Amino acid sequence: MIELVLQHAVNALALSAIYALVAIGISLFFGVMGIVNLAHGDIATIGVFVSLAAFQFLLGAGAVDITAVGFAVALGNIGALLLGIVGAAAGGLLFYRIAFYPLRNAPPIIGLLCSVGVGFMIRESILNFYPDGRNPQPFPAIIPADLIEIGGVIIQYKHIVVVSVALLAVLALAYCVERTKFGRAMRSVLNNRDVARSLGVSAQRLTVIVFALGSALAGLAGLMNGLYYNLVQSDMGVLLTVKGFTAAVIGGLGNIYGALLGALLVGFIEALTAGFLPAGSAYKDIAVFGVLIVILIVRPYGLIGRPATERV
Amino acid sequence: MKALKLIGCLAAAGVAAASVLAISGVSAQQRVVKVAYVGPLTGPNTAMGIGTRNSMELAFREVNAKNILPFKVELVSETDDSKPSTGVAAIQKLCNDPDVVATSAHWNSPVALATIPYFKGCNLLNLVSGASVDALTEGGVEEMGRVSTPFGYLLPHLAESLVKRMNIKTIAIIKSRDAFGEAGTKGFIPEFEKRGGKVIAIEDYNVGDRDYTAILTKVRQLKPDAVYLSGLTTEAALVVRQMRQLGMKMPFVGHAGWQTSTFVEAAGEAGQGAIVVTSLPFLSQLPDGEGFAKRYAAAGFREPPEAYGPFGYAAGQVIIELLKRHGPDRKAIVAGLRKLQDVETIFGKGRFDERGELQPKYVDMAVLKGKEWVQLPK
Amino acid sequence: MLEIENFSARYGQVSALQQVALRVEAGEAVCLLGSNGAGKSTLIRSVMGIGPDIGGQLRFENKDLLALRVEDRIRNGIAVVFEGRGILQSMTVHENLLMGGFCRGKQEVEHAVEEAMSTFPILKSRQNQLAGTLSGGEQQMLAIARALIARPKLIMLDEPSMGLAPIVVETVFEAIAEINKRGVAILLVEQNMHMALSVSNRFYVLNCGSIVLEGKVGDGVFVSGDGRALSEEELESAYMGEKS
Ligand SMILES: Nc1ncnc2c1ncn2[C@@H]1O[C@H](COP(=O)(O)OP(=O)(O)OP(=O)(O)O)[C@@H](O)[C@H]1O
Ligand SMILES: [Mg+2]
Repeated sequence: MIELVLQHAVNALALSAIYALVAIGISLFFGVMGIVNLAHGDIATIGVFVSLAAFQFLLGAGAVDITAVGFAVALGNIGALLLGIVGAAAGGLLFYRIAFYPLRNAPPIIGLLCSVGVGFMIRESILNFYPDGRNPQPFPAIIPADLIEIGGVIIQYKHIVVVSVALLAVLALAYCVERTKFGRAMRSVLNNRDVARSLGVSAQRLTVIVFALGSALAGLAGLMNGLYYNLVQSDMGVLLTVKGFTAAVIGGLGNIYGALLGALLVGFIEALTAGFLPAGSAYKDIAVFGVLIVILIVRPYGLIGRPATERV
Repeated sequence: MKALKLIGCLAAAGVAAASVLAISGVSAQQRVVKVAYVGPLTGPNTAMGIGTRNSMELAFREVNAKNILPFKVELVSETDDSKPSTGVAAIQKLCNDPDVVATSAHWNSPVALATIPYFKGCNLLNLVSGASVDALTEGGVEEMGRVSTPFGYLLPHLAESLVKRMNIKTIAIIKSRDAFGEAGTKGFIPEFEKRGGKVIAIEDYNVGDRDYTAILTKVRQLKPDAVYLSGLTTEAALVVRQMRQLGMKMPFVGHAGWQTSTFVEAAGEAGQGAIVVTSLPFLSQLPDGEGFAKRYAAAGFREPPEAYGPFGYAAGQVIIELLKRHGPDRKAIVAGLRKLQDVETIFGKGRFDERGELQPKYVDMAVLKGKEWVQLPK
Repeated sequence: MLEIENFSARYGQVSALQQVALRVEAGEAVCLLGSNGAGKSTLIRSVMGIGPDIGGQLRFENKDLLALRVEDRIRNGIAVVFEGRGILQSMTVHENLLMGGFCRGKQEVEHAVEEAMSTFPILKSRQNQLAGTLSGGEQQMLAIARALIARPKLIMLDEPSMGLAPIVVETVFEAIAEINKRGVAILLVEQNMHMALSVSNRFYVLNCGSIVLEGKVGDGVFVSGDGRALSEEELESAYMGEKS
């Protein structure tokens, strides 16, 4: 029994790690720009397909065995992954410029609707223009499929990679936010936009940086998702958006630690409902949204969020 | 009201005049009768549509060359784009063409369901060569018939094969939480239990889910002899990948819902050895399979016949037989279908039952080997 | 130093300021009086560069402010303390002070922060505390100290007495007077007329978006622009917008 619980916890941790990377971006976008970006998961998908294209190129061009061990191969793999992250950031910026920036003074609901449109555009473009984009495509399994078994609990290398990459990314981000001038500027905007502006923080410039950063994190989430499941498809981002958004709201929009906490909650609730309720996997989303609703009733601004009015 | 009547009269007169012209204008010897294929000639399932159409065309070329009918049979084809709305428009067009005497239409079940009333409305035979929901021939519509194998025939065969051939006693079912996953379970469980099998777990998932480790961790504890997935390609690929990653080595079984080339790609190494019950004919198993393959190759089509080609060919063969017996008359052809009790097709000797289904049905087991679905060794 | 002429501001269709003319000379302390909704905050925000749509002339040391971004206005020596204690609640006291020097170099800022903390010892002892946990008076002091970090030549304060106990208000005004004494010009927005006038050289009264009265303060006497001595009642009624 105990090992079953631990096994589910291991699985949940990997899920949470991916959700957290998405949730942080969604939370920051809302805090800094006041828009709910429902295309965030699809921006992750852009990163995934940019990376996939790079991998397919590597495989096609030199017939490289991307699972082989070696310096050149590792370099190629890391390059392809980095390209994906850059692709997501660039994609995010592009959509910011053509879709969100022109609407910066419009009511938030317009931004939200616009993000829904952006999501559609991304998914449909991959569907129609990426070679064989209609079908799910295998994502290179560059993480060895090996696993460690400790007392009946299986820990795959994938688990370790996904969790530690997410952890590193979050720690790096936390350092940026807590200890740097950029971080202070960002927090000041999250805290009180007008005061921040009166101190010389350019909300515009900050928005661009945050959009790039959040999109890059989303891209990283997408890549981790691809590496974890080894299967990607044009609409994989929808799930990421839903889960990331839920996590961000549970934690409190506009707070990266809230997003982190929310992601952990979502991941664990999912894994535990699916794992321990009879036929539970069908109800895991219900369980997650149930918790979301309860939390919003008890704490309308999320677990560690503050009222939105304070930000105005 | 008056105006409407007038238009009606004019239209009727027009149609009458047109058919008189059509009949009198062409001499009996050169007379051409049209048979239509409607399917996904555009859109995501184009390859399937074209393979089926070509195979049907082959049947007509052969009969025209033999000169055994007092007219030529010409295949006309329309695309339904895998969309009900496009399908309905195509059927309406064919209904209004008096030269079209019979049809084999639709690869996608939703499209086939949508057009039933239109076939009924103009007494045009739809001898289905692809779509596989049972409901198509269960509504008592005379105009509907089928040569391909509907879903309902697969699950009993799957249960039989699992218990008798593979010696599987306990099974865990993972199914999508929708009508499709449900259908694949409801039809299977009684058949499996009847034969002494035991279902030890049923787990639902939502289409679009990516993580199945929680379900699989649970299933792994139960140690079933096999895992049965009732769902579609993407989820099947994810489940089998995650199963193998968790070190679960039992057979992964299912049905035609995910017997696709996409599954082969998507599941990768983990998909090897996956077993499905299939209605897609292995040519080597058909009485005239080899001959069909040779003649198809010789006919110079650019595209392969694909999995449904044999059904398209069989539909052509049945329609030719109906034309032979009843002539180019829509009503007579529809009425004649259920009377066919001895028709020779690529599947051998067959007959039509009261539902309009060609019997016996083709059904077999397939296993994934390399990049191909091959017949499960007996 | 600060010259505002023929200045107007509007929120969409709603006009908040019309044809306002106002000057602040170097080292001067000027107060801007007016009742709720008169447009005082709008004026200050416009000078800072974060107001609504505006028209007219806005000059600082003979530079056209309208052409400058907020950060350049700060670099040129303008700072603001918003109404309702415009501090960053969920950042620490120290971080708030650092933000005051956002447009300046790192070393200068560190030095200035040290200096501010020695001027306001209470801030030093609370430097790692979240600013939102300070008392109202301490928050106001923090906001003022933060504005000083940018080494401004002009500080605009928007209702610094708002919501503070009288004894605390006195401390705050002492600090303002002290700052002014060091040569920093002050533009003080207040509803607390008496306190405001006690630290000011000149005053303007804003009513419904227009300047209705201006004058000098000297030894407790108020003199209007045209040299006429004003009674306290006259001033009050202009301020309240009653036409007597
Ligand atoms: N963001 C805004 N959008 C629309 N109208 C505004 C906005 N801010 C202020 N106003 C309007 O502009 C006018 C001037 O407001 P402002 O805040 O400048 O007045 P104030 O003199 O500072 O008042 P108070 O003493 O209450 O602070 C008011 O009528 C107010 O309703
Ligand atoms: Mg005000």
